[in-house]
Amino acid sequence: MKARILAFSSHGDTTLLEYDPATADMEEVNRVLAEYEAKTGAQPFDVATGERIKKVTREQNEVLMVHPIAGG
Amino acid sequence: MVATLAVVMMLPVVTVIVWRFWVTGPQRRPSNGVAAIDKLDRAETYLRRIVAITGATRLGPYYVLNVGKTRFEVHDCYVCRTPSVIDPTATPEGTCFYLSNQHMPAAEKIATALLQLKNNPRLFDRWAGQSGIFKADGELFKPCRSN
Repeated sequence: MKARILAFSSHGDTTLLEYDPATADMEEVNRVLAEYEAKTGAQPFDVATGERIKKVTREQNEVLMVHPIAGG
Repeated sequence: MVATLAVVMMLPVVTVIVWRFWVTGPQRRPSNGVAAIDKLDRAETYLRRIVAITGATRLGPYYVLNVGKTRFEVHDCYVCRTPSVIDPTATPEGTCFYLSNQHMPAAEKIATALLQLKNNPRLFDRWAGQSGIFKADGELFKPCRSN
């Protein structure tokens, strides 16, 4: 079973990363997400629980990068 | 003779019609319209999942989210907060909210706000303060600018 990191965009949901959680280098996965956060401000949420997560582990199969919001 | 000529003249038209509607029917040839519907369907599916996990409920055109004693009414670019679920007559406050990607489907904008408010209801005050762009953890986000 594959795990997926996705984000919402103008094209609907977009897969940023797909990997096998059993074998993937999770440090590398988290490094990619940290880069994405630095660029966009998006932070990871576990889609199964709706909780914000600091680091993605092998237990999460679907992670949504939630973009920042400005008020107005 | 005339009938044969008519059949021969009609042949290209019939061929085009058969090709368009039978061989490459709309279901076999996704157009931009089909892709757009698919995009909106998937956005709605994600919204339904996020509504379920956050415990929100749909109330007409908006979604109601209770976090502790606070009630939020989330529209696709506006949030209203009522201070207490015990006192529904309390004065509501509201703020608009914007995602950097304004072309995101409305369902995804609502889903984003629901997830963030469920995890961090204080974000509402930050949005209402109109003092910048805030990450889900409440931290101010300063986009990198490349020259």
